Amino acid sequence: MKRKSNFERLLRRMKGTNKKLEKEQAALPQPESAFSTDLKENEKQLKKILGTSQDVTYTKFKIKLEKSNHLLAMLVCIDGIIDEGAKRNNVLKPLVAKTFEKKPDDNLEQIQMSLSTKKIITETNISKAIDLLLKSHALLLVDGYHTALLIHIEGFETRSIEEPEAEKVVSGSREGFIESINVNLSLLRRRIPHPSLRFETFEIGEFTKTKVVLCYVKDIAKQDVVERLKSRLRQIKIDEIESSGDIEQLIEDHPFSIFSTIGNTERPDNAAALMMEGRIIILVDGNPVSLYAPYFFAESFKNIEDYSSRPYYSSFTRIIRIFAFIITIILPSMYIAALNFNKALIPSSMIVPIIQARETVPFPLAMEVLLIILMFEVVREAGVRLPQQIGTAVSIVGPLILGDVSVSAGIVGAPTVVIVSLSYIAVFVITPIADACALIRVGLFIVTSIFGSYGLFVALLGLLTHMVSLTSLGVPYMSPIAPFYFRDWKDTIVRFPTRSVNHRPKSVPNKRPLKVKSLPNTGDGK
Amino acid sequence: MTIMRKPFAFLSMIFLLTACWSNQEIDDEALVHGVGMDKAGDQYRFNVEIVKPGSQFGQSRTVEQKGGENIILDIESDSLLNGARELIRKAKRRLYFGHTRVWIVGEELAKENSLRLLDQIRRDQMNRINSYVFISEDDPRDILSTPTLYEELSAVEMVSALEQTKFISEYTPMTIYELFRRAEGPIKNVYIPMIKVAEEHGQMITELDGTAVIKNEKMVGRLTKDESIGLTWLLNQVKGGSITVKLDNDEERVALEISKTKTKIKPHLQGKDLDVGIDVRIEGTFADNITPFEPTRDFLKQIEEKIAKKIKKDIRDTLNKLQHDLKTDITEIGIKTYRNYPKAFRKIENEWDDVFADADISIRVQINIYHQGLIDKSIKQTDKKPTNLPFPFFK
Repeated sequence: MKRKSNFERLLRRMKGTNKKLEKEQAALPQPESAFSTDLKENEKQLKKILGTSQDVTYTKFKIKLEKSNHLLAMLVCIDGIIDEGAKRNNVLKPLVAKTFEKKPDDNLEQIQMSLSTKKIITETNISKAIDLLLKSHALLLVDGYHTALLIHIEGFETRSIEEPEAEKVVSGSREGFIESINVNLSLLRRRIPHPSLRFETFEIGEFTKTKVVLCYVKDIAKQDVVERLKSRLRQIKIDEIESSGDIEQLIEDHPFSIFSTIGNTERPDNAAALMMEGRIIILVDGNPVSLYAPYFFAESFKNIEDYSSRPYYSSFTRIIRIFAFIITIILPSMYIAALNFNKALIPSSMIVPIIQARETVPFPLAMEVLLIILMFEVVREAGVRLPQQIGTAVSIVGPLILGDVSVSAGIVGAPTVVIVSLSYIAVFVITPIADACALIRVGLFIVTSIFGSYGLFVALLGLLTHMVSLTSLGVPYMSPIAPFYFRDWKDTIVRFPTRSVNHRPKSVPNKRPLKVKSLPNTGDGK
Repeated sequence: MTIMRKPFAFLSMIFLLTACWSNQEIDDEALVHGVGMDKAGDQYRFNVEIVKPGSQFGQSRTVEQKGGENIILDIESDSLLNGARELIRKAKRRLYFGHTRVWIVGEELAKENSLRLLDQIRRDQMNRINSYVFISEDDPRDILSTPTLYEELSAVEMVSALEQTKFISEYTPMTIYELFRRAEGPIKNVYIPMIKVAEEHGQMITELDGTAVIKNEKMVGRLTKDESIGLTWLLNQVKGGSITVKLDNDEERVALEISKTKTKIKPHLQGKDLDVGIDVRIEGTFADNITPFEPTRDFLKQIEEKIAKKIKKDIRDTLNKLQHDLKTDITEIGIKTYRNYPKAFRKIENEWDDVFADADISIRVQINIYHQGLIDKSIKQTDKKPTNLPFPFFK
């Protein structure tokens, strides 16, 4: 047998592929397949499967037949996820009040007719019925029949539609996705009322049974891209899905990259616009954050509000965002490269203040910068996680007091604080890739502090190579820059006026490249 | 497995393959801003101006404390590099010359050989070849230790003085790059601005004073301030400034503000006879009128002639000195001749100084005053003012 190194053994343990664990994994109990005709027997079965959970309610009543005959019936519901009013008025009331002329047939057709609800399903399989029961259906069983009726009377508490905190706009729609997927779908449908808008539902998670809906416009999105995403979703066999972030990490092309190759948005207007470009939106039940793919690096510099303001200003802000990206990743590295390796890079007029600041600091420059980077990262994390009221206190103590006092105490130099804070503030302009930027910044800084500007440029080249090799659903991540689609540049670094953008972006595979048929001729007050 | 192996190899490379990458903390080095060099017996004396690291809180310094941000150290040594190394003993830190912007050569040294000594500046990859060279008759140390007016370092202030002189058109700066370009060209003569310490109201200040003429690596003479102006015209380096001329009456003066100039040199070489036509074109605005006259077309024409005469005289004075006293061509005439007659020039290359000295140079100055300002007369003494009296009949 081949001897394995300790490192390999360590890796195997981290991976956790262990046959012992698989044996220990208990199989899930499989309930009996069919309902019996005996109501009492059925009740016993249900109670055995559902246990004694207090939210399961069993309502027994009689369905009157002619000649003072009656049928025993039982309505099983889960409290809190069904509409209580609909249960009373639309299910129980008509059944109790009405007198049936003859015994219903095997499918309980007559009973179905007398109910006025959205959807009724007949089911004989007990486990399938329980699945539906747990998803806002009421289960109606009648003595003497092995058919159960599953009546859809959904009703539970949802949050109202609010503006998403993370993607606020000044002028634009104030709607945001909420946790309930049906509401989210309605928000999308209202924006694209076209038969071509398709919602395809998947159920992922053996326990959570999370509804995952794929939304796309059939006549715009390329079918092979949709199929690729669908097959990925179908292959997920997992116990639980907690959020859309889980789905994102399970289906992305490059799970080990620091860049996310799947975008996310909380705004239905943004989602609709993306679908109209040929992209696919993934909505996950219980999560207001929707995912979309393909996603490109250039989109980190875009904002939905760019499209509602004048093109010149939004082009300007986009250039500012690109500038901010460069600043945020390389400024600390450039600083140490200039001060420790290539001193001729420092502007001559800045040399005196920089030397004076450095003279009082006890640490080497690399340690000083790293110290501030870590301090800022801690302050930022503290500010994000704390409730808003305490958060403001942190934001005062952190940057103001810590920054100022550490400079006057001579622990760090003022230029270093300026450089690092500039690099931190710049990242807030490009929130979609803020986390990647924080890592790149530290990585580049460490490399530069060892190798100087040579190391910085080698690392930047490596980063660029990595970014160019990324794909999102098979579509290059750096497009339209790395596969060079010049037509898309009308809306990449700068934004051209809306009327001059007649095409859908070529970067997103789509079936309808042309989106404008004709435009009014508006010169001279015509 | 393969996923983990790559970063592992990469990390080990980062930390194990670290060679000398010249990481040097900035507070372990002494940043030299200005260097002075002069003769001391058979050795050379070097002075360096180093940035003095003070507190990072700029306590508002009073006027008396100004100029206290530099350290000046001296060393006597055989060569520049050797001097720099030996200075570590005094400076306690390694010297860094990448920020040196001023090199001051003492006149005594310049008269022997100054360019040879500057070789190290160009040979080393760290030095700036866009730094400036000066020649000084005073001790370079005195110049570096002169209290500054605005900047913290006297070297920085000297550079700014030189860069601002383009608005007075008196001196043409000389960088290391330009110096070696000229010294290695067909005419191996160089001009270098001179600097001195002057006392003004009890305060020592540095001042540009004349131009040194260097012939074959040795300083052979100097041009005065007025002759330097003529040289600037000859070098086509006039970027602005003003020209004042007197009219017949000594009290009456007129000034022209230069906005655009062009000096063209047209040499004509035949055997050893050199004819040079110097054509100066100036455009300017009528800037100052200390006369009672109105700037009419005729008056302006008269002034144009007077200014042309003055400039002609300036250039002629400079040329006379260069041609007859110094026999050194530091103007562009030689280079122009070489470019126009490369083959003929090769034949007379060794006798160029005589050819230049005997050259027949004609100067033509054309001035165009295209703007007379926003007013006509300077003060309307004779005119009646438009009256503002509300009741004109009381007059």
